[in-house]
Formats: sequence, structure tokens, C-alpha cells
Amino acid sequence: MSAPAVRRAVVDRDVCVGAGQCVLAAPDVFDQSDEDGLSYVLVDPLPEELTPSVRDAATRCPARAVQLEAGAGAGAETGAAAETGTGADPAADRQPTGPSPA
Amino acid sequence: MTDTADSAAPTEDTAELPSFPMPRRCPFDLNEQYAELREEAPITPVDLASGRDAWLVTSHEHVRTLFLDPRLSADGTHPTFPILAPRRKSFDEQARGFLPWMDPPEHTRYRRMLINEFTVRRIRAMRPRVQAVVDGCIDRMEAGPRPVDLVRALALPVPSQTICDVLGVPYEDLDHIQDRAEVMVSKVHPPEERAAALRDLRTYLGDLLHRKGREPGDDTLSRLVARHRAVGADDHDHLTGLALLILIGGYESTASTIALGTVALLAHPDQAAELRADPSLAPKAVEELLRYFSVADNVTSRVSLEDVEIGGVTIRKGQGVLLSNAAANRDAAVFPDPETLDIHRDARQHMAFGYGIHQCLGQNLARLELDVVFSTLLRRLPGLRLAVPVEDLPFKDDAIMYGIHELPVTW
Repeated sequence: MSAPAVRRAVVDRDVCVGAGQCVLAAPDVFDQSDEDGLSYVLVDPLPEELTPSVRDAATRCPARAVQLEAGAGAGAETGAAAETGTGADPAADRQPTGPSPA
Repeated sequence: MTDTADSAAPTEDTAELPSFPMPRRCPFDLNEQYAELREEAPITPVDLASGRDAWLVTSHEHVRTLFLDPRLSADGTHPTFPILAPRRKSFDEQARGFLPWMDPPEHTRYRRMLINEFTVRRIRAMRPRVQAVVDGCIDRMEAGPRPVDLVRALALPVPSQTICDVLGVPYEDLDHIQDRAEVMVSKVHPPEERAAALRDLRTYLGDLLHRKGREPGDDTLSRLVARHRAVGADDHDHLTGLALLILIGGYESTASTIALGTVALLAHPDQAAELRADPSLAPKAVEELLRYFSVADNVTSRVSLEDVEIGGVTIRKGQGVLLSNAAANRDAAVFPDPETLDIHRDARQHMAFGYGIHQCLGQNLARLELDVVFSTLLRRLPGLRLAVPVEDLPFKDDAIMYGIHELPVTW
């Protein structure tokens, strides 16, 4: 359970608003697509040393589209709750899934 | 007309509510009431000059949480939206295509037409062009008489030339656009002239969009027209609204932060000297100046679509909410010693660009412009100083967007 789990950085592209905060926070992990401007993950699984930058990205993402997934079966951290304690229950006030593309 | 006044009032007795906006205590600091409210009642009812009232939110924690809450609508045309002042009749019409006032799914659809114009990579590639614009302005300052008004010589032209570049405004139209935009934001012109300037810009951009449709170039408007067509949307008014938003959204706010940031750096010569000696400090300094001034404090309002319980209060359906990013940005719980300008602090959690799905689309362009302006200004004009005492500067205390009307400098 506490063994160094394989972590993954995840971007929910339905929720992403293209502010580019994750690219600024973790340029080695995230980039924005030239096609639609939405963010995507460059490295998977996530190298351990890049974990802090992904936490930073999750905190700064204005749409809470960035998550750090900890191993299989474990919960995901969202920035607002994990880093600042400002969010209430991350699941409770999370944005509903974005509108489905037309 | 639906009369929803009852449901829009946070409390029954509105006689003794604090009034909003609260004027800044001094050019650099917010009204002292913000700190008191944050301590005692971070979500509190206030009276607006429009006759409506609303909840004012002043803590970083609550502002951030509410920015993320999908039960709060950004629809400025909602009958109980917390407008700050009585509104002109033509207002709703002008709001067509105004992205900041859209809710999902409409907001998502239109924002996504613009996102890839403002990616971090695309903005980074603009640095040489922004540098050329800034150098051109400073060349003209050096060649001209002193003192010079830094607002007109640098703060306004940098964002307007940059934005015209992004949009693909032909070079020969630049003077017209700059003239109209300057009238639009200037207090010396009466309201009807300013409204006319806004109409002129809308008309100009509408015509330009038609031209871009016929003869596309390598610019945002041409791609916007193409993308709009590709999804089968053919609403010229909406497109014009988006173009207008790009133009004015990146204009006054950036200009204000350039002018105010210059005053702040001149008032803190030690920090200015550090920045001059080490330009790699610029990104941090820019974040701190954005936090410190939070010029767009009065534009992040919402109206609640459902009852929302938060921080011991219930925001009822239909009630207005003012998410004060300026107050949040001075919250000592997140920014220790918040009234002190410190270019070394980690200010990245500021919400000067808002937060949530409406967070400023052009924020990385604004960061680039501010970075280049401050680095270049300090390097090229090391003897820069105010030509009048700071107390005599005409700050925009009464404007929606904080700033300075005129900034005489010399060197």
C-alpha cells in the first residue's frame, strides 16, 4: 500500500479550458495540442521526480482537469484539496463532466 | 419583466450593509474593510450602487471554491446578476458573443474556438515580436521630449499593437484602432463618445472578419472564421463579439498593470535594482505585480442558480456573488505579509486572472508583455523616475478596471 506506487498524471480533456497552467507548472509532463489547444500528458507512467510539479499543476489548473493518479485502485489527488486544503470534498464539488462535444 | 428582487436580497434589512465597490485606501492598498471582513465575515452581504445587493467574498479559500462551483452562473444578463451600476439599455445587445458571460455548454463551445490561439507555445513564439514593439516604444520615448506620459507612450501601445498583431489587423488600420480603444477607456471623454468608440470598434472588427473570410491570412481572426464555418456556426455577431473580447480583454487590463507596475517598481528601488541586475527574476516579479494590483477585481461576479451552502451562510438561488480576486490576493493565509510587495515571493496562487472555467484566456500573453516591458524598461532607462509626486498621480479609483489615467515620467 505504501510501496512507491506507479503514478500517472492525467488530464480530463472534457474539462480542460486551455489556460496552460499545467504546461507552466510541469513543462516536462504536459503540453498543449496545436490542434485544439487542450492539454495532454507527455510521460506515462510518471517519473517519481516529476511528481511535485504535477501536484503544482493540479493546484493551479483552473478547471481541475489535472489529476495525479496513485497506482491501481488508489484514489486520485486533485490539486485544490491535496495541496491547499481549500476545496471541500474533491469529489463533491468537482465539475460535472464537461458538455459532450457536439 | 420578472421581479425577483426578494430572492436577490441576501438579508431582509439592507439599511446598514457596507456599500460596494469599496475605494482603495491608497494607490497600493485595498480598502481596509476587506481585511476586517475576511477576518469576521468572509462571505458578507453588501449594497451595490446599482440598487441591487450581493454577497461579497473576501477569503482566498472561499473565492477559489466558489469560482469552481458550477451552480454559480456568469450570465451578466441574468435579471438578478449583481451589476455594479445601472445599465444602459443597449447593454444586452453589446453582450452578444461575450465569452465571460456565457455558461456551459455555450461557453465551452466558443472558448474552444479560441484556446489554441493562446497556447503557451504559441505565445512564447511571440516574444521577439513583443520585444520589437516594446523597443519601438522606448526608442520613441528616448527621441521625444521629457517628461513623457508613460501611459500613452508605452502602457497603451504595447498591448494594442500586440493584440492587433494577434488578430491580424492591417498595419494601416492600427492608428484608427488605437485611437478608438484609447477613447473607449479614457475618462476625459464623455460616456456617449466612449460608447461610440466601442461601437466603432465593433463595426470595424465585423468588417474585418468579412475580409478575413474572403482573404484569409496567418492570424487569429482568419482561423476563427474558418473554425466557425467548420462547425456550421454562422453567427457573425457572436464572432464579432469574440474578436472584440480579444481586443479589449487584452488591452486595458494589461495597460493598467504596466503603468501601475512601473509605479510600484519605482517606489521599491531595491527590488527594481535586483530585477535590472537579474532579468530571470522577471516571471516571479510579474506574478507578484499581478497579485499586488489585481486590476480586474470588479469583473468576477456570479449569480447563483441554486441554493449554495458555504462558510456558514446560504447563498440563495438568484442571489448575486462578488468574488473579489483582489481581496483573495491579499489573504495572509495564502500570502504572508500580503500588503508588502515582494518580487521573490511565490505568488502563483493569485487569482488576478480569475479562476475556474472563465480564467483569462490571454493570461500567458499578458505575462509575456509584462515580462518584456519591465525587463526592457529597467534595462534601457535605468534612470527612470516619476516626474510628479506619487500622491499627484491620477489613479482610476472610480473605474471598473483599476489603473492610472496619466503617468508623467522622466530619466
